[in-house]
Amino acid sequence: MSLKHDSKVVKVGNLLSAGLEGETVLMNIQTGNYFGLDSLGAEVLQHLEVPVTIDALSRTLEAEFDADAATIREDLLYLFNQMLEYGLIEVVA
Amino acid sequence: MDYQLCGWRVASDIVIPELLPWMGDDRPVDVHVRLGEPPEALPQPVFATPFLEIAADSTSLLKVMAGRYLIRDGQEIIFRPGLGADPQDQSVFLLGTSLGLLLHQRGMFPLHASSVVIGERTVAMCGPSGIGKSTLVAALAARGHELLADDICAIDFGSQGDRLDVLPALARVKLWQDSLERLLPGEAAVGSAGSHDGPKGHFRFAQTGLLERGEVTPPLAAIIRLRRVSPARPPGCVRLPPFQAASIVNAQVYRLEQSRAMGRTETIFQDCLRIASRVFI
Repeated sequence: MSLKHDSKVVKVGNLLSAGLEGETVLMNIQTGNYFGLDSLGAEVLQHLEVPVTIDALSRTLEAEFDADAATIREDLLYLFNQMLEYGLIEVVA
Repeated sequence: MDYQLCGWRVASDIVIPELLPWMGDDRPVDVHVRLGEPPEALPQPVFATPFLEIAADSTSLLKVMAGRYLIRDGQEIIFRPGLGADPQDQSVFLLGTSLGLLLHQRGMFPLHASSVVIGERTVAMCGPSGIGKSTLVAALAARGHELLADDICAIDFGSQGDRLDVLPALARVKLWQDSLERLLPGEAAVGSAGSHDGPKGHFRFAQTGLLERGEVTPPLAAIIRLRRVSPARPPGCVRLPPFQAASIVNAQVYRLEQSRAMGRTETIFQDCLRIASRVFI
């Protein structure tokens, strides 16, 4: 399944995370899959503690980063589709 | 008879030919191997297969042809030989699965790897079954490098800062007969053990004496994952990025699924990151 701009996503509950040499390493307890995030990715992850739509998060991040909401939205879609595949986030209705 | 294994004093009712005798001080026994009567089953196991049960307190019961092994408190293995079982197989399960579970019970980190000392460094080889971990360490041992462990490396996070150590386990390697003949012509295996792929012979190496002298082994410097590549490609070694390295180490934890049943997932995750940040992988 592929995410859309209005998909609402949230971090899954059974994640372990820790810092490693400037990266944030995540592991899904159920699957044992590892995933590495750079500092930017780690910051984005902090916004996923509560369910949020990709559109809304793009607008929030626009204020923090030097990029327009449309670019951020495309980057988020790419990242979140990967994270979804690895079982790090889930879609909420 | 008392033996040395992973730095512990092991008192055993049964002969374990793979281990060196205890030559340390007069300290209390760390691990007991006793002949006894393990139960047929564990009450309310949190993990159960026809061969292995694990209880909520991590007590484990291994049921195989060689016999029944009850492993508990990280310090006791109670063993009952199976009817007509080959005595060779007894120590295979004792030093394989039972040791792995015991290490988990003791809160230690068992890596599915074989390890040798190369100069001032300890190197561990991991990879899928049949890739040649044991053959490679046997070849290195035949060239005079001290063998520390075959199949299970107990990694000790120790008290010395960032240092990691492989606790010395066995002075023997499990090898295919053809590898044995090629590496060590004229040598006889000390025993043989069934494997799912066929018979493997054990060979015990004449060590350079580091372990016999009770000397400290050098720190773990590298974990090398062996992979088969096309013969057209030259052999080589690539360092993995940190999170991938941690993921590889996690996948190589000995009896990983069982360690999850023991509630060790988070500890193992943290340990993998510590290893990945300190060791070349």
